[in-house]
Amino acid sequence: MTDFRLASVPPATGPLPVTRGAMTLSLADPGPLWSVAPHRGEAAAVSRALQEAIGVSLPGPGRRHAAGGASVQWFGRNLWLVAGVAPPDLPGAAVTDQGDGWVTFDLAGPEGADVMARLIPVDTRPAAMPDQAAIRTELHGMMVAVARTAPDTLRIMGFRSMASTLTRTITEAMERVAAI
Amino acid sequence: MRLTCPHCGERDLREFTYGGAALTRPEGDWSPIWDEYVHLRENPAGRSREFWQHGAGCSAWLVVERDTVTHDIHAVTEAGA
Repeated sequence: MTDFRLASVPPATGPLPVTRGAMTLSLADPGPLWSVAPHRGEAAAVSRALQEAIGVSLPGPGRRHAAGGASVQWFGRNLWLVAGVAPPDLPGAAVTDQGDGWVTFDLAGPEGADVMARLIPVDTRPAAMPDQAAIRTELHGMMVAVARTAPDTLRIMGFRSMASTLTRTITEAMERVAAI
Repeated sequence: MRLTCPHCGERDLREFTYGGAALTRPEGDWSPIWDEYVHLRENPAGRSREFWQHGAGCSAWLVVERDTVTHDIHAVTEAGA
């Protein structure tokens, strides 16, 4: 019998990774993505259940927790994104597979805040956005999530259907920073 | 104009959408108070209470106390909190 398997397709094809000046934009693979929205009054119980099952609890607003291959990122009001591993059965939360909805880029290099200053209305310099900080904002008219996953790396998540627009827009900003 | 979102901090206007005057929904069946709630609005020169949604940020609905003359923002709180 033929063994049919589903193969995952990268959300962005084309020129990635691109390097402009000191900055490199590449496609990141965060693994499976799940949104977790605890029901009213259940956030603490959901956080404990996640801590026990995947070793990462729910961070406060604007933060990200990562351990091993799993991460939990604040994704909005009463909403978190679990990445890397599937969350356990959470009766106190609405859990939705988001893996087909997002494209994830890593913007690495020392001038990340200068590039992002041309793209989003939020200060991403390390003093304002330290390691493991996570925000939601607007980029080129799109809702995005930006997180500092390492001291020199900003992880940008946007709509998967807009992957090529995001690639072009971020690359243009990198070129303009590199041209200074 | 900048609003200080209780979740996201200070953000500028492009992330927010105006959601109308922040009114208290009347109770019960139709009455003239419902008519006022649906149709009649103040147009104050001065302090106003408005709903705004942080659509491009955390998606929260906010109640903003704002002065329409001086553009001062007096308070931003989460609606329903």
